[in-house]
Amino acid sequence: MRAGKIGLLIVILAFGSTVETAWRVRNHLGLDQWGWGVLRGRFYGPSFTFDAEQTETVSADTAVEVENAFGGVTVTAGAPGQVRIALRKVVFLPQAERARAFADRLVVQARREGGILRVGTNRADLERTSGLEREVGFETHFDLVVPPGTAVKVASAHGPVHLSDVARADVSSSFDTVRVERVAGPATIDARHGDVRVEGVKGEVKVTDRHGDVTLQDVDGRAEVDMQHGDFVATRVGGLTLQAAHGDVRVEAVHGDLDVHTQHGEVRAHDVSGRALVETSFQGVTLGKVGGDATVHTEHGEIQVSDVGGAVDAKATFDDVALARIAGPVTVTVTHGAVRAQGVEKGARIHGSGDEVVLDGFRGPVDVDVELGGVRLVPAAAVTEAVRVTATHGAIEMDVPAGSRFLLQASAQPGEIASDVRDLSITQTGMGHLAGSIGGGGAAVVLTTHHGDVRLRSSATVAQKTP
Amino acid sequence: MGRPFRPEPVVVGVALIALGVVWMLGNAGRLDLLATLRAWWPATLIVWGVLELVAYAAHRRARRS
Repeated sequence: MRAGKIGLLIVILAFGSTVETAWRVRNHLGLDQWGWGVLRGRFYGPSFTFDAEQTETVSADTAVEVENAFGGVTVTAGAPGQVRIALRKVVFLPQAERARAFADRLVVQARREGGILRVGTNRADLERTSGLEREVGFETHFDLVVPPGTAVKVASAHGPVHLSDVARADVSSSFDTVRVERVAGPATIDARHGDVRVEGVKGEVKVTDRHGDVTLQDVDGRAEVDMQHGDFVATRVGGLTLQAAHGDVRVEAVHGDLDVHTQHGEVRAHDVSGRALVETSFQGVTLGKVGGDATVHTEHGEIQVSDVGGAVDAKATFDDVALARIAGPVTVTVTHGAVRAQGVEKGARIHGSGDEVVLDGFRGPVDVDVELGGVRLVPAAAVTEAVRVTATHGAIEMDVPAGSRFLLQASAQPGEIASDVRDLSITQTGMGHLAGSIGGGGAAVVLTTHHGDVRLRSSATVAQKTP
Repeated sequence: MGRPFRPEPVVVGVALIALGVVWMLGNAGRLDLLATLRAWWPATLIVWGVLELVAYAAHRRARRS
């Protein structure tokens, strides 16, 4: 083959490739996810709007399914026995007569299959172009009025979806907001790129969203949410299970259990009647007023837990843990962070490192193990239960209220042991070691520190020094 | 004996004429330029192939005679 033929073939193929690329760019890049024009596409330029309406008579308990590609869908309740379908057609063509001719070909398709009324358009037929005409961009916006107590299912690709006053809701949406209100039964929402708002649902709620905020409010049933890249807010829900990432979480008033598993997001939850389980990373957790047990795990984030009716299990790294008014036993593991607990009623097991551990106003047995940090213990009442504290590179300070009864073993290697407790009866003493009893003895109080001091102070002394 | 038939100039000429006509009709608003080019550009290869066959047949006929 001569070079001229090869050159001509290359020119023709290059020309064809250019045309094909231009065609794809024009027809597939029209709108971005925020609705702005990126390149000149099908949904750009002058447009004309045309309305159509039809009414379908349906029997009771007929479910309604709506399928739409480009355009919004609104469904609300109206008169019984009929479904009113209003379709607003927006055609992107420069001439009104061409737009009207195209809109006349665009019709509502409503067909019954079993106990379901399926509503859609003949978009698929119209989008099969001959290849000689440009693909026409057109939106179809549905506004349906369904009988009271109708189960509604909506599949929408590009357009907002709004459902209200239906028996149950099942929505799948790709690129716009979803709003569901006043549902007598369960609601299921599967969204991709858009905010989701759910209010007033009597049944259970399931939400999946990938890029958008999710808001739940007044959900009687349990809510199950799987989302990413968006903030989450829930107010007054009957239990919640949340899988999330890359977004903050705000929860208020959960009438049941709370399960939150998230990453890269701050979690704030208040007023949980059941148990609470919260896991996150790189952000903090604030948990308040929990009726049952509370389990909180975070990495690189602070934990604040208060007013818990059950036990608390907290694990944190590279930040502090603060507890207040905990009715059940406490278990805390902290790496490179402090632990400050106030009002612990049934004892605590604490393993910390890198900072101090302070138990202020505690009751019950205490087991504290700290590396590179001191320990300060202020009992709420007379000490009668076992206390074991081990520290390295930090002092141990313990207040001894009147009426305390325990056997003391204190060790400071190297360090000093000091006590101003008058009831202390020393049975054995040596370099950095002291054994004795207070109040005639009882449970064992073992205070061991390496590279630190041990100080025992009577509560009266403390009161005098810190008025 | 005349020069052998070469299809390449014919292909280029026909393609340029077709491109000009389509472009002109597109500017006049009678058709969509890009859609028409996209639908019909492979015809250039078909026309060229047909002309190559014609040239081959003419060449064989000339050698027999």
